Amino acid sequence: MVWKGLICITGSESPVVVVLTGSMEPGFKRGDILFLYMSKDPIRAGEIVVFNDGRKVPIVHRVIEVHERRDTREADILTKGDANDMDDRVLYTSSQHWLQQKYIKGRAVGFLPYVGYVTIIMTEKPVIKVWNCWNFKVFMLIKWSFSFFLLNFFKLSVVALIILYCLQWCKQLTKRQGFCRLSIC
Amino acid sequence: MHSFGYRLNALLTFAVTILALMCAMGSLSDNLNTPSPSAEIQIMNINWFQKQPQGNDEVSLTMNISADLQSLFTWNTKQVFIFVAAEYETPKNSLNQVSLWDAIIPAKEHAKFWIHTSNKYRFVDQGNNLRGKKFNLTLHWHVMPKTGKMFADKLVMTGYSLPEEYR
Repeated sequence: MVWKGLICITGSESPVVVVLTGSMEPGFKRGDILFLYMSKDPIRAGEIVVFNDGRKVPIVHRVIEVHERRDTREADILTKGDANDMDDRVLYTSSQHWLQQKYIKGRAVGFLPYVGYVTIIMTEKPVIKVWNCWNFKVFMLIKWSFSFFLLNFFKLSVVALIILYCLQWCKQLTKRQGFCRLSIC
Repeated sequence: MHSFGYRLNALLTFAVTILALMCAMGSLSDNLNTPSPSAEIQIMNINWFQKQPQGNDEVSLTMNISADLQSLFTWNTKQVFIFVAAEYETPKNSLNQVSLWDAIIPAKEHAKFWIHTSNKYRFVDQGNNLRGKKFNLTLHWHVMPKTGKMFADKLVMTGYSLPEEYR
């Protein structure tokens, strides 16, 4: 939900990505956050780009080769993860030797460590979402607090408080229902 | 109003705000550093130079790279990624950048170095334009911070050329 909100606010396809694999270690570890920026500037060697040529999860790797056509200004790009021994030719799904510029979703401009673990935990361990009520509340708090980090501060604190009150109200409601059941019985 | 949850929320929010502020300040402080790196690359030998069966030129060369990148390091620097790329023009392509060698410098102590190496990645052209080709060797660096904005820059070294004949 936080991410959807970010996408809405920035109007970009995926302005923030979470690093999911260790292929860029020791630069980027699993759970780090990258801020992306997509400009019209041509891609150059050395830039860290996020590309997705039709797979489920986009990949964050470094450009090591660029061949830019004189006539079309289209570039053939080769990428490689810093920690990988091999370049990414084998990864490209579109059965060719080069990655085209159209598959590139953005280049990394900024970096924040660890913050992305919140989303990794959220997506990979959904059990956490259905812990008991109190844990859920703490989890929500952490989630929202991290979003403060990235988003408009005041608005979200109000929203988080409303959610907190909603949760408490739910708790009271369930308590009251339990009480009712008791009295009827 | 003064429930445990509310206080926890306030505390967390405050802590995260301070943390964000400190991260931002750390990242901004990088701008105070004006680096003055120096580097020199010599091509010692063309090991071999041939046309692949597919028709692309490929060359293997031995380089002597010496650089002093100590001034790139600040307290917010996690590592510096450096690579040497050959850059040249061909009739078909307005720009070719081929990475030949790269390394990760983990600390300032290792930032002044000298290395004698052959190319780590294959130097293959798109086509067969490499005979007698003049090219630049560019040392790029990419400063990866502990947190915040990443910096990149390069040093272009000109005046290299490949032999006229395959060998």
